[in-house]
Amino acid sequence: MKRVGRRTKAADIRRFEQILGALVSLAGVAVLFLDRLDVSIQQAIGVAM
Amino acid sequence: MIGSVGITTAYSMLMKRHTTGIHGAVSTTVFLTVTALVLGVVALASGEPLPDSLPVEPTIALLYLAVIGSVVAFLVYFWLLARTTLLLTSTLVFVYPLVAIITDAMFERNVPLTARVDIGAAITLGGLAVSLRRSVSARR
Repeated sequence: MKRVGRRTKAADIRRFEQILGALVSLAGVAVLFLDRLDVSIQQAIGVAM
Repeated sequence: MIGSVGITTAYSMLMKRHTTGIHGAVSTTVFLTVTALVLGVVALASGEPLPDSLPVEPTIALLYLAVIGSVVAFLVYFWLLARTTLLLTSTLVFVYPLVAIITDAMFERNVPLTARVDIGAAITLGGLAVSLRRSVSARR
């Protein structure tokens, strides 16, 4: 029972890290989007899609 | 942008669920045939006239997109989908803009890469490292 609880907590932490990583990556893509927006709206849309 | 990520992830999920056990070439053929038919109808409905003669550079670009950007890319995608986790496949959505910007920088000399691109790429790759770190160590 104890082991199952520990495993669930580890899985929760892993899931949190995965979501956090995805959000950080999304922020990075947002920076790229803003940079391309300076070049043209078409390039920015290309990055976003 | 969040919509794009959500749609791509949902798409990967559906593809993983429905193409498991099917050869990548079959999935690619079905997928691209349906896409070509739908886009063909949309192109005809838009009423744009066809050019009298095909311009060389745009035609080469179109052929590149059709062969490398579609057929080869989807063959590799379905191959990857069958062999890796959905998490790993879903993170590809963050790599596409990086590949696009690097490819663009290789051919487009008038638009140099700025420090902001380096920062954006570093943040994106850092996020991917955080996302994938555990799944790699958990596999050991």
